[in-house]
Amino acid sequence: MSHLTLKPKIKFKFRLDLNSISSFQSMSVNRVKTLPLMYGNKEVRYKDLFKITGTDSLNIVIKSSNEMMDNVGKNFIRGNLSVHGNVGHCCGSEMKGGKITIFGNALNRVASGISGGILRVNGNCGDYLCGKSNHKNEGINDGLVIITGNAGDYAIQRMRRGIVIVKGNVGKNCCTEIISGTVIITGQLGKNFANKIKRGTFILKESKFTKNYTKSNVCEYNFMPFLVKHLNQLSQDKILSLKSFQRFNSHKTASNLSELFLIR
Amino acid sequence: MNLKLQGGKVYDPINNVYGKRMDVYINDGKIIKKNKIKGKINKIIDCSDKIIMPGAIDMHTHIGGGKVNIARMMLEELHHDHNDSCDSSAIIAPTTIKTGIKYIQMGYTSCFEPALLPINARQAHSEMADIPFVDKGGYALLGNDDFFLDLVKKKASQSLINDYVAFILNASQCIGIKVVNPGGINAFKFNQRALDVDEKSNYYDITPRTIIKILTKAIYDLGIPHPLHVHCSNLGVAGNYLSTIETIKAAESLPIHLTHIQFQSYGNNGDRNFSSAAPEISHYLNKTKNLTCDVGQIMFGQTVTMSGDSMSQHKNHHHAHPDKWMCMDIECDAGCGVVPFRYSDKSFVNGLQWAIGLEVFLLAKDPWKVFLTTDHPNGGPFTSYPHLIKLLMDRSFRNDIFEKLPKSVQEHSILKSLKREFTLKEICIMTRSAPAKILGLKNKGSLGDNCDADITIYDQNKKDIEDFFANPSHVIKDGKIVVKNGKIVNYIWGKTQTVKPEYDAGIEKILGKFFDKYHTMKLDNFKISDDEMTNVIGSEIKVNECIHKRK
Amino acid sequence: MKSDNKRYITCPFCSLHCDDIQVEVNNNKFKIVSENIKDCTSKIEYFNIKKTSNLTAISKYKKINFNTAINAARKMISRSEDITLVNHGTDVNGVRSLLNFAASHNCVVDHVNSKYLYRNLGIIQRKGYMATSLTETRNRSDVVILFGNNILKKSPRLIDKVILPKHSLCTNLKSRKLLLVGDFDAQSVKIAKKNKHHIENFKIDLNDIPEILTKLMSDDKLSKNLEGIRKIIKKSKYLVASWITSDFDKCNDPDYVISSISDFILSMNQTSRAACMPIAGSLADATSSQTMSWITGFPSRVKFNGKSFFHDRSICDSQEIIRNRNTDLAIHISTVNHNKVELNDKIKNIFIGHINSTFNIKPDIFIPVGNPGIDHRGIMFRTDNVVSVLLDKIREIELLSTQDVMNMLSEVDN
Repeated sequence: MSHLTLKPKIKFKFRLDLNSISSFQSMSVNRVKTLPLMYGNKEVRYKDLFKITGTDSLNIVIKSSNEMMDNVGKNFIRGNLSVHGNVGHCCGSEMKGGKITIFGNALNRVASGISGGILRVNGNCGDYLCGKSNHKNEGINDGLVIITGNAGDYAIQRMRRGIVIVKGNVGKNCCTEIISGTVIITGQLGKNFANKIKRGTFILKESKFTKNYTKSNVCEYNFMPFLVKHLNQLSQDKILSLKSFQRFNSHKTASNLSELFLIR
Repeated sequence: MNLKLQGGKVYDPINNVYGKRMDVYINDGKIIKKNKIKGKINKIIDCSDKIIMPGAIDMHTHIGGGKVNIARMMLEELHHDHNDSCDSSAIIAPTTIKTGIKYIQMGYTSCFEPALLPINARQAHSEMADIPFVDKGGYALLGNDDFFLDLVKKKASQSLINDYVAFILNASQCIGIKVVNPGGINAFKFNQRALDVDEKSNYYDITPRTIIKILTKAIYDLGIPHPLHVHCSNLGVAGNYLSTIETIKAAESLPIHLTHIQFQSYGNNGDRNFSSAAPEISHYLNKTKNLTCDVGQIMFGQTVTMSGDSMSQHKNHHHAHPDKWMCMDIECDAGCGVVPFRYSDKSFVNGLQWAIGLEVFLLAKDPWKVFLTTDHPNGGPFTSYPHLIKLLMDRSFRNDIFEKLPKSVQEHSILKSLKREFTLKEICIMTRSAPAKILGLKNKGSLGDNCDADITIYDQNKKDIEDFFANPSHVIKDGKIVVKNGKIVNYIWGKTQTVKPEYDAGIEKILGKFFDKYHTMKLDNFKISDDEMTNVIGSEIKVNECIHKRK
Repeated sequence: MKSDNKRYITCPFCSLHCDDIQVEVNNNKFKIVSENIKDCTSKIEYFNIKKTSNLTAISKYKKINFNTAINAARKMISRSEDITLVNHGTDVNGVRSLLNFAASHNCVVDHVNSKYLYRNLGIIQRKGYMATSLTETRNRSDVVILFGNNILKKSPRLIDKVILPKHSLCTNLKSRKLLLVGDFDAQSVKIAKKNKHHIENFKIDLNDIPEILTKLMSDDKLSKNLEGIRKIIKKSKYLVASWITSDFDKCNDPDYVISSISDFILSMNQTSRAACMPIAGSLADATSSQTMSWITGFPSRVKFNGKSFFHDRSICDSQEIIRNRNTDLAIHISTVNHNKVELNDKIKNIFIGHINSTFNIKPDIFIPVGNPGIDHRGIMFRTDNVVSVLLDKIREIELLSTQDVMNMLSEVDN
C-alpha cells in the first residue's frame, strides 16, 4: 500500500486547523476526502484543499506544507506522519504515541503536553517548545522530542518525564521549573536557564551553567554508552557521539537535585 | 392556536390522576378544559401509546452565577466533547445553551439555581437569561452576610429582619432564601475552620442555630412559599448527621427544606469511622412535619463540586482531581469554592456515599417530601437523572451495581435489604408536583385547568427505564412543541420566577447608609429592577404570590 | 432629567466601575461634580462631544449616512472569506451580540487584552487559588501588599475606595498596613501616602519577587528590611495581595512571578487567612471573559467552526492573525477605549466605536455607537469578576448601542 499523501491544491490565505489528521487512521480514504474542515469562514472538505493520494492511513505524508497549518499531529496516537515543509502552531501537541517528522520549521507550542511517541523537527521551532498545555501544570510528560535547529523562548518548562534534544540554541527561560527528565542541548543557552528545578539530567555543550555545581571525579561513566546507543537507536540518527563527558552534581541550592554532563 | 394531546395515559398527582387515559387541551400557552375551547383544534398529537406528565422541575441545580463560570474556565480541558450535537463543553460545566438543550431534551421545563449571591445576582440572572427553553429562578444566599449578622448581634427585632429578607428577595429577583453553612462562611473569613450548630462564631458570637431560627421565622412571617433552603453545617464530615438533626430542631417545627441531604447523613461508626446514618435521618424525615429535603445523589465519574461553602471547600481542596481548585471570599456577602472531583467506584467512601443517597430515597415514606436531585454538578451532572430513576425503579439493576462496589461498602450498607421499587406515580410526584408545591409555583407541576402548558410526553414503547426518561417523544413548553423525538424544533426562552414580599421602605435607608459606609457600590446599583430584568438582562419575570399572609 | 441636573453615574472606564461619581448634565454635556478624582474626571469627560467627534459614519475620508454605512459594511461582510472580531471593550450585551454575529459568520472573537487574562487565568487552571473581592478587602484586610509598579496609577481610586478608606467594618483602619513591593515611583508612593497610614515601600526588581516571597515564608535569616516585612506578614490575620498583570510585562517570566504570588497566598492560608485580588485592565476585560465563558465555555479567543465554538489560545490570537494578514476583514469594537487603536492597512477594517475613537489609519468604514453608561444602559463586570454593575443612560444623542449595530450587521443574506 502506498502512503496516504496530502498535497495542498492552493496557497492558503487563512489558518487551517488540521487536528483531524490524527483521526485518519480509523477512516477509509473516501471518508478522509470528504471530511469537513474550516477554511476561513467556510466549511470545506479535505479534497477541496488537498490532493489526496495513496491508501495507507497509518503512514501519512503531507507535502509542501506551510506555516498556516495548525494542530498538525495534535492528539496523535499511532502510525507515522511526515510533513515536508513548515507547520504552524501546536504541532504534535498532546501527542500520545506514533512518530511525527517535520522537514521544516514550526511555530509556537510544538509538542506541548506531549505524553508519548517521537516527534522530530528538522528545523527550528518557536516559543513554548514542550510547554504546558492550556490546562495542565506540567509540560512534557513522556516521549522523545528532537529539534535539529533552534528553539525559541520558554522552552521545556515544567518537564516531568521524557527526553528533549535540541541541537541548536535555545532562548531565554528555557528549562525552568523542571521536575524531572532528560534534556540535551548542544547549542547555546539563553538567559535564565534552568531556574527552580527539582531533578533532571542535563547534557550540555555550553559550560557557563556549570559554575553552581560541584565537579565530580573524572571516571568512566558506564551508563553513557547505553544512553547514547539508546538515543541513536530511538531517533535513528547520530545525535550524540561517545565523547568523554564531565559530570557535575550537587547544585548549590539544596532543593536542586539535578545532574549535568558537559560534552567536552 | 388549539392543541390536543389525544388519548394518552395521564399522570397528574395534584389532581389525583394516575395513569388514566384522557385528552389534554392546550390554548395560548395554558392547559384548558375541553368546554372552554373556542374555535377548532389546530393540531392533534396522537398519544395512544404515550404517557403524559407535567414538565419536570429541578429545584436544586447549579446552572448560573460566578462559580459555574469559574468551573467553566478552570476545566477548559474537559471541553472536548466534540461528538455532542450542541457544543463541546463538558456536561459538568456546560455552557448556558447546552444546559437549556440538555434539560429540555430530558423533559425538564423549570430549573432553580440554589446559590445565588445577592451581590452576584446580576451576573447569575444574565447568565440564566441565556439558558434557552426552561423557566428559571434562584434562591438568594443569606445568613453569612455581615449586615445580617450585625443585625442579629445587635438583637434587632424580627420585623426588621423580615424587612431585610423581603428586600433581598425583591432586590435580587429571587424565589426563595437559602442559607449555606449558617455563619460558617463568615467565620472562615476570620480564620475559623469549622462551626457546629451550637458553636459560636469568634467575631459575631452567633451560633448557626440562631441564624436558622431567625430566618425560618422570617420566611414564615413573610409568607414566602418556599421554606428556608438549608445547606447544613459540617457538610461532608463523618458523623455530621447529628448536626443535621440539630439543624432540623433549630427550625422549631416551622417549615424547612434541607438540601443535598446525602452529604449530611454520615455517621462515624465502623472500623473506618465512616458509616451511613441514612436510617436515623430518614426516621427524622418521616416523623417531622414541615420538613422536606432533596437528596443530592452522587454518580461515579468526574465532576466538579461548586458551593458557596468556602469553609468546607477549602478543607477539601486536597482531594481535588485534577489538582486545581479555587476559593473566594465575596463582598461581605458570602463566599464560593470550586473543587473538581472524581467519584470512584473503587473507593470505600465514594461507594458508601452512593449507597447512602439511595438509602435516603428508599427509606423515605412520603414522595412529597423527598426530591430527586444530584445537586448538579456536585454529585453528578443532571443528565444522569434517567440513570438515577432507573436505580430507584429497578431493584435488580441497583443490586447489580451495588455488588460491584468494594466489599467493605457492602458490609456497611443496608441497601440490599431495601426491597422497595419506586413506581411511575412516585417518580412523577418527586420530580414534578412536589417541587412545584414546595416552591409555590401554582401553575406548574400539574395538568389542571389554567396551568402552564409545560408537558412531557414519554413513549410507552421504550422498555428501558433509563431510555424512557432520557428521550421523551415530545416536550411542550408554554404551549409550544419544542422537542420532537429528541430534536429541537423550536427555540423559545423561559421566564424568571420570583416572589416579591412586601417590606417597609425604612430598611432601604438603613441599608443605604451601610452600603455607603462600607461597600464599594451603592445600594441603587445592588437592586435589580423589573425593568432591568426585561430590558437589559433580557429575561421576563413572573411574580409568584406569597400565598399565605401569616403575620 | 432631574431638575438640578446632578446625578450619580457608574463609570464604565476602569475596572473598578465606581458608582459614586456625581455628574452634572447640561445639553448633553456632562461635567464631573465629585471632588478629588482628578484622574477619573479627565477620563470620563473625554467622552463629551467635541469638535473632532465623529457623530456620523465615515467611509475612509468621506462622511456618509448611517444606513449607507450599514449597507456597505454588510456588503463587505458577505464578500469576506474570513472575519476577525476584535473586542476593545464593550458591555455584556455587546459581547452577546459579538458571539451571535460570530456564530452566524464563523468568525474568530478575541479581546485585545487576552494576553493578560491568560496570565491570571493560568493560576486558576493549573493550581489552587484563593481570591477575594473589593468590599472584602476594604472591610477585612489588615495587610495589603501591592506588587508591581503602576497599579495605583491605573486604578486611581483603589486607595480611597478599597485599601485605605474612611470606614471599615471589621478592622481597625489605623493599624492597617500597606506594603508596596516592586519599583513604585515617587508619584505612586505619594498617592499611597495620601491617607497617612502605615506604608512600607520595598524597592526590588520585579524579577526577584518569587525569590523574596520564598525567603519570607522560610525560617532563614533575612536582611533587616525584609525581617520587618516578615514580622508584619506573620502577624497578619487577613492579607490581601494585589497586582496588575501588565506590570510584569517586562519580567523574564511573568507567569512565574504571578504564580509565585499565588503560591505565597496559598501557604499563608494554612494557618491564617490571605487572598489574591488581581486588578484587570480597563477595557472591560472581565466583562468579556465572563460573558464569553458562559456562552462558549472559553473565556476568550474562540472561533465558531460551523457547529460550536472552538478555542485555541495561539491559533485564535487576533493580534497575530491581523499582523500576519491571515484574515481579510477585521471588525473592531471599541466603546470605552481612550487610546489610539492600531489597525492594519493591509486588510479591510470596519470600526464600530465611540465618537471620540482614534486610530493610526482610517478604517474602511467607521460606524459610531454609544458608550455604555453614557448613551445607553448596559452591564459590566468589575475586576473581581463577581460584582456586575448597571450602567445608566445620561445623554440623548441618538446613538445606537453596539448590540443594535451588530444585530443589524448579522442580518446579511448570503
